[in-house]
Amino acid sequence: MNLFILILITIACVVFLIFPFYRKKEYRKDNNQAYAEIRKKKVLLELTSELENGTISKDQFNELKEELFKIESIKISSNNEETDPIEEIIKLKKNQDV
Amino acid sequence: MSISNLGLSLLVITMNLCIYSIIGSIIGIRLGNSQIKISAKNAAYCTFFTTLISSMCLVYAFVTNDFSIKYVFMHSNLSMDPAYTWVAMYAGNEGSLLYIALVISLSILLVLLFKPKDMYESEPHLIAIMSGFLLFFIGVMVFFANPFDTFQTNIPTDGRGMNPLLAHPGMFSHPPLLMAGLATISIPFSLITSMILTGTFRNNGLDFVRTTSLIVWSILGVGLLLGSWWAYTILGWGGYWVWDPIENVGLMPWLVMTAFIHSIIVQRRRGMFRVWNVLLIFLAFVLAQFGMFINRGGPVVSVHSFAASTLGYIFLGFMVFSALFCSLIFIANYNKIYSDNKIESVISREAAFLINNFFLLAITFVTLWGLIFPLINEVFYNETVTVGAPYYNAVNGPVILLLLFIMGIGPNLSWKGTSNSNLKTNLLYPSLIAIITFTFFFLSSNKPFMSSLALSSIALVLSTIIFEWFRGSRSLIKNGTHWLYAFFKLISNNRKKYGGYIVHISILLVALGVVGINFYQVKIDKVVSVGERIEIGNYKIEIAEISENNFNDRREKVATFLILDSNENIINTLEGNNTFYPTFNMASIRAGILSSPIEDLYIIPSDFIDNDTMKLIISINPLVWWMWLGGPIFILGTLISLWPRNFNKS
Repeated sequence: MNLFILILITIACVVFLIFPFYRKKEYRKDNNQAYAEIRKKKVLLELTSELENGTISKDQFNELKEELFKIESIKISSNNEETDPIEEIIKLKKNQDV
Repeated sequence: MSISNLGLSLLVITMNLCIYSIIGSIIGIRLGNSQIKISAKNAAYCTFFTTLISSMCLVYAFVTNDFSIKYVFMHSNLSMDPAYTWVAMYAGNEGSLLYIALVISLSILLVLLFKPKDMYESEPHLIAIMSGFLLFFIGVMVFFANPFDTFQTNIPTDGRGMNPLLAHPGMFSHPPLLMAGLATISIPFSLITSMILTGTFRNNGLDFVRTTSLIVWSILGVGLLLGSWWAYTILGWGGYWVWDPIENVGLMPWLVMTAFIHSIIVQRRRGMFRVWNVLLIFLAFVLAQFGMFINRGGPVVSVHSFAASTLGYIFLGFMVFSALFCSLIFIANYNKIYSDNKIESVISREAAFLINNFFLLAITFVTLWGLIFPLINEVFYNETVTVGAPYYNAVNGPVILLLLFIMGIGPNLSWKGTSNSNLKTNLLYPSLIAIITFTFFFLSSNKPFMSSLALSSIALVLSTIIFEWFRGSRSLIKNGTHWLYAFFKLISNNRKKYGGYIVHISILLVALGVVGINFYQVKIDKVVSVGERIEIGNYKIEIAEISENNFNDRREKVATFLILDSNENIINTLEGNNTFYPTFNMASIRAGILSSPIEDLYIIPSDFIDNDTMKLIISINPLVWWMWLGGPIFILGTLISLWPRNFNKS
């Protein structure tokens, strides 16, 4: 029984490891912009709550909001800088075609 | 094939899966090959299932009393309560390593399943780091501390039994939580390291880092508090907190993680403290490895070293490796993580967070120094020095007070800078309450100055929280909302912040218990006989009976006490026992405790002189009840803080 369990687990592991090579699937890349928007919403809600209970003033709220938008935009531009070299070649090719 | 062979074979498979996962991730990153990366990820998933079944093999061996396995023989016997056989797995070194490996493999599975999708860039690095950490523990078990090692001949019919001090309900919660907490510090560490390596240590993933850090921190915090409760009920551990080396190595990473979960808020809000946060998480991780080293064959003697082994040098080596790895990552990537933003005002929220961090680190380093000082002395001067509770209380006490003070001030400060009018509005009433509290306790009691200061700091923090809740709810009530709904709406709108405040309240409750027991305790020692009465505070204690019970593995002496009030009415019956375990040549003393929110009546039958006479230590410990209430409130606050918000719907 124990030997059977061991063989079964070994086979399951091997199948699970080689499966990606048969069912070719690209590594998932998601839209970072959408996540940045959710993050902004979350922080804005917290800032609004702080504005309402008087921990921050209206001016501070606006300053912090601007700062938040700036931080999130830095992220997006840095992502563009760090694109995959293969993607860059594809982009370059496309531009040349145009 | 025996169950021990199955268990060990699965560990070997797990080890190979880890190696595959690491190498696969690295090759996948280098070649940019998605298939290899996904295959490596699948290997990481598999490690949980193989480790889980291997752990189940060991538990099965315990439950079925398979004494052919040396580890089962060492930590179980036939007369042990069957309930403990389910948890005896982590009663010693080898099994607890397997438990830690199980926790790490589960962390890998959960992190990969719940990680936000915008962290895809750092995922292969994350898998390689976490699998590397798991590989270390699996490797130690396979090569040095095999939990499935068996007797080849003369298989015993009964075992030696579990360490008697572990036979306590606390065994079901404290050790697994504490070990899990220390092991899972690897999660935020791996997340941040992988983000640094891929140049994505910015805002994406930061919420996830914070969430995982909060979970890890709360597991460790609850584990520490449960340990205190356990040590309070059983005398063998030395008291609810005695600054024992093993207690300290659990506390230090928790303190650093406390600093981290505060300072990560500043990074999330203002993009600041990036370098600082990296340093904190690296320090917490290295301190967790230091804890493993001290706990498993380290050079410091402790009553808590139930997992002691001769493998100290391996854990020391891993700790040094971890420190070097962290230093290398930090130095090589300093430019990537450096942030230009500076603190604009000393009277600001971010400055308060930084001061809070410094105090927390000060307590950590004072504790660390107390731990390593005897070692340094022994190595360099060949002198044996003991650093005990008086050192820690004298040095850490004032810093903890300052920390409480900043807990009261910080929430009143605004981000970027606080205007004078804001400061006056927010701080006026809390400060007044703190001053009144101090004056009242200072003038009305002959207790030390520090006790009044501690109570006034507690009053400051509590009133700050209450006034902020009041101000926030009032602004919502103005819009026509019912006050109760407004209160819950306020918490719901900013769960992170108000959940954090609830956690602060739990810390205050713990502080209240500590102040009560340290400054207001009344204690007497007396030799008494059956039928005798003792008076302490408002209680009269009558020694009703002393009985003796003999078991296969222990001799138990139980003392029964009748507790009477000042009008001679019996209000309760308490039992305290002193149990001797001949196999371990060890006694375990359990206190009789009558607990109430005002005070605990605490009776320890420290020594039985003959059949009718015993030595008793009786104390009245004020406000300790609140310390234990702090646990559930701590969990509640953490859960509120972690509760997710669905932004797709809102």
